[in-house]
Amino acid sequence: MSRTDDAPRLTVLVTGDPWTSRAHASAQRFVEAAATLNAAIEQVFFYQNAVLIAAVGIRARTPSENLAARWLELSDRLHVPLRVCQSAAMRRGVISDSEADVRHLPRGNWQRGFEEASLADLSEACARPNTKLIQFRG
Amino acid sequence: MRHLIVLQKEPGASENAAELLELGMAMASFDQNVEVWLRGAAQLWLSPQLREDRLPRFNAARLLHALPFYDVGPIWITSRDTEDVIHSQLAVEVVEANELADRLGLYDAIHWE
Repeated sequence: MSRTDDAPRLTVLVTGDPWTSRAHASAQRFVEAAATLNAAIEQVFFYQNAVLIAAVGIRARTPSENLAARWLELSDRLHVPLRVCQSAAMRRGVISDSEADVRHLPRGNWQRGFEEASLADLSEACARPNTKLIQFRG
Repeated sequence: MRHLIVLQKEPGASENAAELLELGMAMASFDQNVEVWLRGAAQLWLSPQLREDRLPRFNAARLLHALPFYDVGPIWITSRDTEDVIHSQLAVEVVEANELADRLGLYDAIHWE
């Protein structure tokens, strides 16, 4: 199926906790399905407890449920940026190396492949015409 | 895009209320319409007797009072039978329960606490 100019641009907003909700798994299935329909997925944005996905060292419940690795694989294959709200992440102890440097910490725990972003990035995308916001809160 | 923020937990129950209001402020800063529905126990955020020292570090009550400066609003509720709402310093709009279904259909995105 070909993409038309007036097709909606999708922003996927994930807010559910990676451990206790199904938000990430559901969002991943949605992104995969949308890609097969050639939908324009602008970004996946992680907010609230979903930002914990960007922490290095999250252990999957089962080998088939390595959510972070699955996100990175989808992002790489479909060219969809994974944007994480930096301030929500910091509140939960997920910090980048640059932020760790500012705070005189030995190192950050931010997983490579997830981009630091702000609510302005999400809001700007939503303000563009023909944008649809799809939320997964678990 | 038209957004509705729905808060439904009592003050102190989670930090999600403050983060959702921050989301609303950010959306409003980009000229999007944002309204807030205080549902059920979340109406207690309007109480003038709210003890700030008993709240977690994110105080959604302060953010609620800042919303008009971001052009977020109205804040609405579906009943006004609580004293907290009557004595609130914040302006709220009362929506009848039978208008709810039609009203919820107006939004492009609904963000639940």
